[in-house]
Amino acid sequence: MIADDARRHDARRDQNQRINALLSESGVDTCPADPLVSVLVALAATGAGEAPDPSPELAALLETPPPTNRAHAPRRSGSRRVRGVVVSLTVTACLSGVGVAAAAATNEGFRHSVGHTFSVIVGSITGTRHQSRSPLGVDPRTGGRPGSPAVSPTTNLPTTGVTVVPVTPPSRSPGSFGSAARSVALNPPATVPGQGARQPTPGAPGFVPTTPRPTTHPSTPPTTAMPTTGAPAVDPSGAPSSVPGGAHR
Amino acid sequence: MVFSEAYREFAPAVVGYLRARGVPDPEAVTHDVFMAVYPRIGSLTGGRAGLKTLLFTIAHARIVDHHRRLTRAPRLVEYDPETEPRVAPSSEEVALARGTGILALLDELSPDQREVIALRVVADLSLEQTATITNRSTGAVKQLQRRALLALRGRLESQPLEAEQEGTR
Repeated sequence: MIADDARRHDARRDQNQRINALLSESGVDTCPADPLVSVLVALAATGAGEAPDPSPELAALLETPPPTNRAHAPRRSGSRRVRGVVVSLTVTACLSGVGVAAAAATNEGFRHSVGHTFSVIVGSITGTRHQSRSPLGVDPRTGGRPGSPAVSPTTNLPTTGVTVVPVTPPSRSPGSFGSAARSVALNPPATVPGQGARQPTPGAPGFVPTTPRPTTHPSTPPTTAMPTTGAPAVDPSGAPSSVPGGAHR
Repeated sequence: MVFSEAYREFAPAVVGYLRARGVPDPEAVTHDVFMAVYPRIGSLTGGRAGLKTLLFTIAHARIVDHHRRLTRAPRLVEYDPETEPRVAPSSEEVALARGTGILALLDELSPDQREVIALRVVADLSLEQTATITNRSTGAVKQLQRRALLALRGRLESQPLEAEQEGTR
């Protein structure tokens, strides 16, 4: 009982000291009989006393030890780190894509090489790359590009007496084709530069019915095709051309 | 600090703070505040002062929620004691009336001043803790409490008898 009274007295003294410190801190001058001090002390007393009875849920929590959330903190920081890495990788990939797109837009050779690489990959996956070239005897290492010395349409094609006209890609200049381009000069009307894929009208002198595309030979991308004729080979007898490459356009 | 010990030590101040801010059921909101603190008490830093700051930060947020709800809820009719047929007050009414008179002084203050005085005087928080909870600078808090104390003094000078009666009760 005496201890409780002493404790209350100490608490009241601490409260008075606290109120006086608050008033001096705020620059408000007070005297001991100032009603403001007594009001503030009474106001501070509303925050003292006994704790209210806990609700059933809170009483259950008061009985159990509190959880330790320290184990969750490192995992949260780890997830933030992973998120940062993912975001940085995404940004890097986007910037690389923009750079590649810019290079492809400005450099035709780059675009050509990327297309060639892509067709090689697709051909190796689907297994159609060698099937489409084997009849022509095209060296896979050269890719059958126009102007390659290893590719000679006049010597590899199984046609006899047929003038083979290599395809002139629209983007290529005729002078860059080398020996294949010189064979174009044998039949100038069929190989107009920039119009290699144009088909003559039926009945015209340069018209040759094209061979239907073989179903077993998937189309070869233009970048890897051998210098086949966009304007097909001219057969004087009117028979369909036997140039296998003509069907791959 | 053990959770039950924290409840015994800080729950009265939380109840008094909520009551000073006009929350209708301060005990229930105090329970809510401590149940919100319970999952965090294991990872709490700052010791006793940190726990106290967290408690009153949550209580402050509950008060803000309460006042936001009031703006959307229909306005309640104020209790009129003249229409009350009972004439003998109960002990609870006497106890409540004692606090209501002092707390009525706070109604003379602006909401920001009332908030600062409740945190500094009722909740017994330091200047820095009050600044953290109210999201203000310590200079702003000090200025608010100075104006609030001067306003309280002016109110007491205008009505000295009531104030002294409330203060001496």
